[in-house]
Amino acid sequence: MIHAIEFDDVTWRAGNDFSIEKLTLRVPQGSIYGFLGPNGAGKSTTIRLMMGMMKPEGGDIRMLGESVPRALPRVLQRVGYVPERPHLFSRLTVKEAIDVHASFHHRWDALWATELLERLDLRPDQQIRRMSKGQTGKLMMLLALAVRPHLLILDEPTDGLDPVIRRDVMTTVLDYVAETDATIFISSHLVHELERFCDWVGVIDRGALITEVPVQEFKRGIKRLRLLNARGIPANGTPFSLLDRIPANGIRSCEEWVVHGWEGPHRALLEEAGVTVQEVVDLDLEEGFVELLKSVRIQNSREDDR
Amino acid sequence: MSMQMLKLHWRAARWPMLPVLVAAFGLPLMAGWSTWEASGAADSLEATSAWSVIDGAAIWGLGFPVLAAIAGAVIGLCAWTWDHRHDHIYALSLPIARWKYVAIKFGGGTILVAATTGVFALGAGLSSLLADLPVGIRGYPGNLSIHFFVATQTAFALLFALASGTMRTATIFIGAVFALVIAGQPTLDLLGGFWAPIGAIDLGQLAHSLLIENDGPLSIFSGNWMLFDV
Amino acid sequence: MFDGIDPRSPTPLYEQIASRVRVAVASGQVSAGEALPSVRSLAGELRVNPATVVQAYRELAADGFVEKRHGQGTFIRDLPVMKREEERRRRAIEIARSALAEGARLGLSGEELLDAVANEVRAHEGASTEVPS
Repeated sequence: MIHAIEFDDVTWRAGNDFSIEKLTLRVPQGSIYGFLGPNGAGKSTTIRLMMGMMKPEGGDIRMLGESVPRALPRVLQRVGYVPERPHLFSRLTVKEAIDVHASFHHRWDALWATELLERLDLRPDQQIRRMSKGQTGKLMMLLALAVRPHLLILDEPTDGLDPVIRRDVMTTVLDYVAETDATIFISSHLVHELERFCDWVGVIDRGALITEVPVQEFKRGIKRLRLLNARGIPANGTPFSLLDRIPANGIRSCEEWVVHGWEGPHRALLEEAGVTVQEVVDLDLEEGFVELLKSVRIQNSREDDR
Repeated sequence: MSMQMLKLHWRAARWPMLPVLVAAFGLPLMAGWSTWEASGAADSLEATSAWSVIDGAAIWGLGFPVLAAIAGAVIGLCAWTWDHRHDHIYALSLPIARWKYVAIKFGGGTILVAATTGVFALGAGLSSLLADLPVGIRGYPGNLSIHFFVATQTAFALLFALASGTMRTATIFIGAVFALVIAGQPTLDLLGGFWAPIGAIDLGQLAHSLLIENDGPLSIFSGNWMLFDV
Repeated sequence: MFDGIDPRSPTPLYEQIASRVRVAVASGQVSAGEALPSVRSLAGELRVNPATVVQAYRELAADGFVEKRHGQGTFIRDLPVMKREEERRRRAIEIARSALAEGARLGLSGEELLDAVANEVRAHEGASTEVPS
């Protein structure tokens, strides 16, 4: 499999507070890769390292097959980037911003840009500093798309935008992907949005990648089990991993297990051990992501205590 | 690309540059205008009027290096104001090598310096043409303009370099210079009470000899700034 | 036809999309020869990964519900009556299965559910003669 983005043991430190240690990441070419993580986990830092805005202290980064930062700025000709916060020169109008951006990018498609202007409902004479957050967001996406990128790096592009604009923006992006074979790397808090169209998900917490799998696999494997007669049954040695265990109490007659890596045959295993499996509940991406994070943090704190 | 960057620079600098351009055109004109007064006042004594024209030129000549310094500083600072607003993220995300970006920006700034000099040259040329000069005194608009260009370019280069760093480094640097200028000598004098050799240091002299004398980096601001001379 | 696609459901999105098309064909909602929306437009409209739409169409083609005409798009095939009946039967069984599972969770027996269904059918017999849209 060819990868659009590769991180190999990348390390980056910022004083004592925060660091990225040996981060290894693979974004398959042509995929829509959702990068999830809580605030402060290192999402934006990872993106800045990718873009060559910061230099890693160790490890290798490759983007579209070329080594970063050595192949910069050339590689950036094929990359569309939308940062977390507005970054355009605010005293320009939409048209002026387009002209500036176009002058730097060889692959700029002027006709496509004009079409996008109309689709995203932007006027060329609007001053950026007078535009709403949503309109600025749309403009940034327009600029990123009009360079006809092979790779789109989107850092929380729709967070803080109203649902209508979010819809317009993502529709346009997905339309572009359908037409070309571009890869999208998108980090976001809006897990439900990502769930619609991501085929891969990477979860980062505290500078470390916790999991990186196809979305379907992630969702399929994370379940909430409602069990009877499960008290006292040890959970180690099971083929699945136990993320959380909530004992039965009062209202809740069943013990609840949140597990990762669940497969159908495991049901029989449990029943052999005398446990009654009342229900196997599917978790959506957000619930799964929260449970996974919770368990990783509990595990880390246990290790720290030791 | 270069054209667009020049446009951006101009957009950032045009309002601060307006008074500078007015002064660049007006100051040399004022120098010439004063010769009308000088000659009008004492037309019987040609020698006196010559001296008063020279004196006048010398006085106006003090304003020219100051103007050059201000013009260069404005163009240098404005080169980076827009970039700073969003921590340079836009520029960093562009597919252009950093050194190239800086070089193009510097080139654009040089064009603006040249344009300012052009305005200055127009003023100086017009002034020389219209001046009522006594025999033996002539105008040197060409020389003066070249001097102006080099001085402005020097100030531009310095402030450009300063402003390209982070806001923090720039502020620290400017703050340090300010502190030296205002409180430097008094501090040395105070310390001189404890140890004589320190009190003997004359900061002004030191700065002058380091920066201006013997072709120091700021030496261009000294020298002959007279529009009219023998 | 594609309202209410739920990305949170454990059923993969491509399966949900394909399923909708199958139901539409089985119920006669769409006729043979009708064109499905292009991958691009459907992906954009539903805001899903184009690859998802591609997969849905591929499944439908494999099952014989649609055919892809090169350069023109994807079209509903003329299904033999038997196949349509088969699909309808499948759907009915699916509904029955999930109803029974839900009932079991609430402690209702198959008998109780059958009675309830029979009652409902009788009550609505006269009222609905329209084809559901």
